[in-house]
Amino acid sequence: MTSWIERDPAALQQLEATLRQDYPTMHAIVVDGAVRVRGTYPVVHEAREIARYSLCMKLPADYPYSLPVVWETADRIPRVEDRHVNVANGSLCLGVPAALWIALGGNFAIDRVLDIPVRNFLIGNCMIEAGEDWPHGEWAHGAKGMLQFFGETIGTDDPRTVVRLIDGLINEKVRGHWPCPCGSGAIVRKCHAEAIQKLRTVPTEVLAHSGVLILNLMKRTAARNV
Amino acid sequence: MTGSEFLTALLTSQRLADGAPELVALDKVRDEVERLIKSALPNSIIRFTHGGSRAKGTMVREDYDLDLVVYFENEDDAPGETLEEIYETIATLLETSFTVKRKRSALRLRAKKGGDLRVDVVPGRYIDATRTDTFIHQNEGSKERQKTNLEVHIRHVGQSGHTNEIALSKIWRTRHNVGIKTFPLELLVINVLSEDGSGDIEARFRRVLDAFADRVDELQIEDPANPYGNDLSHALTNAIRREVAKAASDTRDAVDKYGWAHAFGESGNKQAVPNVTVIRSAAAAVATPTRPWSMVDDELD
Repeated sequence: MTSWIERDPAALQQLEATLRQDYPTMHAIVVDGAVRVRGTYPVVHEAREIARYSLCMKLPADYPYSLPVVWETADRIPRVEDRHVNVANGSLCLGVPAALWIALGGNFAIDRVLDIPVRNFLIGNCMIEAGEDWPHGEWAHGAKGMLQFFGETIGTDDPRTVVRLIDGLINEKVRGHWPCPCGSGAIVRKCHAEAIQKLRTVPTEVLAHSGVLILNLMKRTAARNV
Repeated sequence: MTGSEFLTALLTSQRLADGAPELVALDKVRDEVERLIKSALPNSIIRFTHGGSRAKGTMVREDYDLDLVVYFENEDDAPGETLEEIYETIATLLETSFTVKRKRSALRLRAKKGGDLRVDVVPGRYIDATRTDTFIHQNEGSKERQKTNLEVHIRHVGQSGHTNEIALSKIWRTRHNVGIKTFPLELLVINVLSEDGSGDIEARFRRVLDAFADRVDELQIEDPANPYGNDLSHALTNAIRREVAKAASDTRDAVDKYGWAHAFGESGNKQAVPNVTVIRSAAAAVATPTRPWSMVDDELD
């Protein structure tokens, strides 16, 4: 894939101008053909800086159409699952990918990523450090968290139903007159139409990744029950 | 407010006065370190003293720690015969009270149940009876030991005449998360200002930024305690130079367009310690809530 800076060099200059204006302590640097944004991000509320975090972000090749990888670099946040840090690579797990896609409307420009999921995560971390809970809740780890997301979005967290729905969405076979996957008995058009319409906007690869994780969970569960 | 006034006010706000809670906490850890080592090695003559920014007068509130050197006499083998043995002996002793992270030459202390204590302990042994140069152990690099001289370092930095600009550079480094360690940063600043130290604080610090942005590849550093023997290239790699140059260039542009306060990321009154009421209020005001998740290791296959 041709990276975004090769496709449009002016976009990098625009990114740098955005950083200088709105995030002056963050800097974009090209490393091995990929753009990394590194610096500190202040969490500000009502003109008060309540925290400042050292971050490094690796922007994807298709920036701004998918989520950057974000790390906290001052060892402030423990690298454990319960703090929502991916143990494999130390990156912050800002949310279930499909949920983030819907929340950000598929626009992962630096300012939107910093000021929505990153800021939310860091405020949440401040709450945890203060002995409180994540302010807006937290998804369960792994595939269970994905099922939780689908459960809240379309009214069912049954793995078979969710996987069928994902398959239908990927292959563009979900129709308004189908029975709604929530099991209400109503058709999609008269039930979870809006939710399914939002899921239709999520890229195939993001949905497919969700499907694979849930399928693997089903296999592991079946193996344990044998 | 002029640039100089801003930078001077920034420095003043960052100074840690005697009796500051941060220093009291560091001294408490220092006292425990001394107690542990002295009680385990009662027959050793040990020099405990401050190195680093506390000794040099460049400590800043936003990025402080205590470098505590622990030096043994050159013929004292109670802590160990080799430098590595001395290093491990001290590490093991400290592990009775702290969690110890082994670094290149230092031992970083963390609370057993808690966070970073901001103390680096550096064990070493005097080279001879003059008690000037010391050898310290190295865990990384091509040499297992490094020759150094604490007083030379303290003098070189503390009496450089540029401690204010060094402190500003440290604040800048921390605010902008630039991956350069303090010692090479100090040496770079001294290098730049030894060429031209004229002007007020704004002019001098601007000169540092300009040099970093425009010619960081030309700036050379050497260890004043052992210029021919100590290789500092690991501390100032090409990647680090690029990062320093980019951050300095961006900062300079931000200063020109928006002013010093903006370039230093001054974003409102700071909370010394986040107040939970304010954090709750910030959380409640979030317009687009999102929830964290995490991948599970065994689901990654």
